Amino acid sequence: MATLEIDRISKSFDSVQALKNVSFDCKNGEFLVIVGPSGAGKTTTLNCIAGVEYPEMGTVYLDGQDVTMAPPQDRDVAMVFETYALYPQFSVRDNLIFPLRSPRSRHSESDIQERVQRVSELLSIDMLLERLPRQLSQGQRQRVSLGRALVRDPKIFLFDEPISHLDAKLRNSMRRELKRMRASLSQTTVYVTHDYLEALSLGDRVVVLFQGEVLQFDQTQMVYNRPAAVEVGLLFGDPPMMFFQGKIDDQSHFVCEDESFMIDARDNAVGLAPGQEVILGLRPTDVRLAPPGSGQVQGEIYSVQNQFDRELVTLKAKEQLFDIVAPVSYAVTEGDKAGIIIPVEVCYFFDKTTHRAI
Amino acid sequence: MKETKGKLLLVYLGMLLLGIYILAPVTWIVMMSFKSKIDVISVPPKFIFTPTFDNYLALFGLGKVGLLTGTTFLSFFKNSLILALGSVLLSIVLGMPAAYAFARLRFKAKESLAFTFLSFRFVPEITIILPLYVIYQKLNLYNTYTGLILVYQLISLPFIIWMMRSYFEEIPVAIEQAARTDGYSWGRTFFRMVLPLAAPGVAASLVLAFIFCWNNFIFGLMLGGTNTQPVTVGLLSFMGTNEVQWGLMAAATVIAVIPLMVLALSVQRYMVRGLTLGAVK
Repeated sequence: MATLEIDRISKSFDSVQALKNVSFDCKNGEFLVIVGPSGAGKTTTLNCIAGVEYPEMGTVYLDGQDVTMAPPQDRDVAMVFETYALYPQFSVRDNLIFPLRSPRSRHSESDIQERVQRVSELLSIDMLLERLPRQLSQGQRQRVSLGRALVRDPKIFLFDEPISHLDAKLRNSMRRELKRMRASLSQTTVYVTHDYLEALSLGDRVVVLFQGEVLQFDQTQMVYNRPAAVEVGLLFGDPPMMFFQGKIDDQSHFVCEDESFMIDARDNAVGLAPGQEVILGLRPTDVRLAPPGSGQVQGEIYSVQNQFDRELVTLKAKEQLFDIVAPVSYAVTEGDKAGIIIPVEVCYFFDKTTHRAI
Repeated sequence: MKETKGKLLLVYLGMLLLGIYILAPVTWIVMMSFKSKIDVISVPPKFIFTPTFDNYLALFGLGKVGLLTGTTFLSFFKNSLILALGSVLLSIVLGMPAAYAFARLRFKAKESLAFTFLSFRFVPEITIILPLYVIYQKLNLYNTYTGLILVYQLISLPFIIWMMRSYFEEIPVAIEQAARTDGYSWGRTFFRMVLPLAAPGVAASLVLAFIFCWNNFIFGLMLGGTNTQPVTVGLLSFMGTNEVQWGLMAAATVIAVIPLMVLALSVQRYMVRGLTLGAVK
């Protein structure tokens, strides 16, 4: 158990700047999720915490101590790798024992056996202990790599996309197991993923990384409800957030650039100035279809995708396309006229040039 | 059906010819080594003869046929062993860390440095032998094991660096990182994780380097004297001004090849894999 603080770390590979002034912290026992698209610098950040890479600038504090340049074996961190990184020549049992027999750890033989037993039962790999990694399925390998971290009592757990290479069904069940484990372990954890659902369901707080920069560092709910930038909105939600370029007029109305629609933003106008160029973000799940003539947008149904538990309706108004998630019972077909109701409280406004939330 | 049979026949014929091409000289040498002085030079060559061990006995200082020089064949053999083993040993001590660095670390001019090492292999040995001869005379390295082992590094070091580099690169870096975070220092990780995983490749490159060193002729000829020259040069001593002792030469060749055969066969499995891997990279 420990606290973690990352203070303005930067790193570049050749000419590419992988991390730019990345800062965040993780409280004792907190589950922190780093989320971002591929290439955002998530793994590099984790590697800097683990000590398998070193930042060029900035400081990493573990339990208040500066460990920025300390070698990994002196940090007492347990890491689960994206590629699992099992030791191919060792059996599952020896993979689990390996960290317990390191020169740094002091475990009695009976303690080692007991830990291996407990963890392998927890992860249901107790039947596989004598097998070699190459004789395991993807899901089993993933559980062994989790087990190799969980047999220890490290200061901090680091997870690098541990379940992203599993198929959808296995991923769902592993997410459930991780959530349960997290409730019972309450260890300080940093978890890296590109999947916003994992972030929402596991994280206490979330760091959103984009092109090596922290876009948002906040409570999990806030990242979804108050995205700090266009890219954050794009990352969280399915179907993804829609964006429209436009202007604020003298009456605090948002006017789309092709004047296909306007929204009265008076009740949501904090920080909006007349004449300001903005980007409006809307979630397809937040807007509602309405009969023609009602709502702020009028248009024609462009396509209807039946997704069994819901319908994804696309409406075209002039050149703008709107995605709307509607209940299955909502019977519309291509070519129908319809309107969209946009409640002003679900409008997210971003600055046009900086992409930051207003 | 007929067509494929004809094709198959052609393939077998090709294989037969290739087999003869490769095995005929070997068979010839082995036969010669068992022939008496008269049988060796008889025309037409005899395929059926009474085998004799005289040549082999003479090599070890026994029997009727005498050696032309004072030194025995065994001392050349010993020199070869010392030189090849010493060179490979030195190469592994120098080359393994270099190979690891080339495989894992990021540093300036990495590729051009690696290529420089490789380029040692491109240069024909004969082009550097004269200056080396002068240098060796001045540094008192001429006719010493140290001197020859040092110059043999031109043969074995680039080879070991490049072979082992590709083996290290094949080991996923995450495995090393996992061992480090599991509490093992770099050194322990290297010896407990990296080296065992690279072992087949290491064995194969060692054996190949040993064979290349063993086969070298020109360095021993120019930079060594009779007390340090390897068996490849030693064979020359069977060529006198009056006669060439073909039988002795053949027997010596057979004995000189035996260590290579034993080594090659014992790591054959890894070597075939190792060579193809090197080729793909």
